[in-house]
Amino acid sequence: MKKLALLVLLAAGCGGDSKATPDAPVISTPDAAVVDGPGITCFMGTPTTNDQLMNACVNEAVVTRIIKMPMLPLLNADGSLPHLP
Amino acid sequence: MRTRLPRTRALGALGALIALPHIAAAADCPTFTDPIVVVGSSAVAPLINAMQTVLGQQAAPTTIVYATPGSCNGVVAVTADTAPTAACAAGACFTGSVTYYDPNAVTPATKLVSCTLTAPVHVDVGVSDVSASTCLQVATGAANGVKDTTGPVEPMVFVVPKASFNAGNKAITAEEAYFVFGFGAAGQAKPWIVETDLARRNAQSGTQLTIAYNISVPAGVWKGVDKGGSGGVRDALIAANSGNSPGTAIGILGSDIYDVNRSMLSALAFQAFHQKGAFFADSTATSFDKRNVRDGHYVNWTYLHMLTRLDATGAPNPAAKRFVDWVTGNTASTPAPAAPTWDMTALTIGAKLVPTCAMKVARSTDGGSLSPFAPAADCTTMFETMVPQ
Repeated sequence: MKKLALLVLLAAGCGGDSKATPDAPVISTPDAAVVDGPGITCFMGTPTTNDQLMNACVNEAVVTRIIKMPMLPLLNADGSLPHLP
Repeated sequence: MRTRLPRTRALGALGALIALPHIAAAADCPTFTDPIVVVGSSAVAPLINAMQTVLGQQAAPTTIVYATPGSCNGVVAVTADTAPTAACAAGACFTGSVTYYDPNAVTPATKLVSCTLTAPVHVDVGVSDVSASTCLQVATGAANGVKDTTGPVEPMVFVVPKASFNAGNKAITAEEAYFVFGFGAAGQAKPWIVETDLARRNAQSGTQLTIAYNISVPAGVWKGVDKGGSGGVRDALIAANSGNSPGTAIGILGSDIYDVNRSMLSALAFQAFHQKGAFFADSTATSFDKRNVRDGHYVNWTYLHMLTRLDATGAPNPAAKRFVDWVTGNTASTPAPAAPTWDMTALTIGAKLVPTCAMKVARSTDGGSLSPFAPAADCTTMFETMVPQ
């Protein structure tokens, strides 16, 4: 059931569904088959800000999106970047 | 001392102004016909080369004399040129290798040949991937005697040998790039941990300056090897395909240079800070549609900047004006060349750049935030029809 709900979100958020509410700041999980975790989201609605434009939902049957979580040993413990040497 | 190249067609480009015999070595430049001196970015070479070819084939040809010392050197050549009709001021003008269209050339087939300007010439247009502010922290505008006119969009890409891409290296995050180019080997961002395999440019490069904004590594402190120009980066990465470890090689290029070298190179998808997922400049690794540039999913891009010196009346010199008008499509001010037919939008698309009329996003400063954009005359359909899908 949970998986079904996720798929519904996928269809609504990233498939270009014309019924999506404009400007609605809805966050959806775009590709449950590949990504199953918090923080991997896309913006559904009409993007107006930089972050919304970058993260606007796409039709992933047409546009390739790669989820990469590299191992970076020098990242600070809180995930922030250290100063340049 | 060298002053401005003469504008009257068929006058000696060098003979009249350089104290050198015109029987000089073959590398010295000939007499140019109606020259426009354009200096700066190598990333925009495909567009300039296309313009050179069409203008050179006109019944009354114009010769674009083009040099590629890097974006910011093009900016300096114009901003420092405080006496454009007199001796070159310090830092102004250009000396060195240039290309031009020679209708009589047998080789190369493109008829785009090289020669060497042996004395400094005033530069009509500085072409740069970034603004004067980014290069020099100096302002432009009428009060400063220099105008900055923006043109089409130039995407910039991280590029790896195709062998590396095929082995699985398909994307890079901004955080990874921070460690790769900010720390080098010490950054431990595998597989890009061999500093001699990092094919970079330098702090004068618009390509490097553009990407620097998006990975938070100032262009002047990048680790790696300065390959001198886009051609050097391209050649190093192509050569790495047959090396011992193509996976450790990475570099940066304008996408227009990359697009014509895809048989040996691959661009990486890029994930910006605060972005959820990495995107190619194009919708997929094999398409050419620049869809993600045009809609804001791919952030490593800039506008072409054209720097021109203004006179006391606030006007650029006639040669500079024509060049800028042609690039911006201002045919009301400067008629388009007649034959071969001149279609600047088509030339831009053919040169693998993105005309602003196909953009859905804009930015007001180099590396600045994206905002929605609606062009006055949308050319999306033309763009998508012309590029391979």
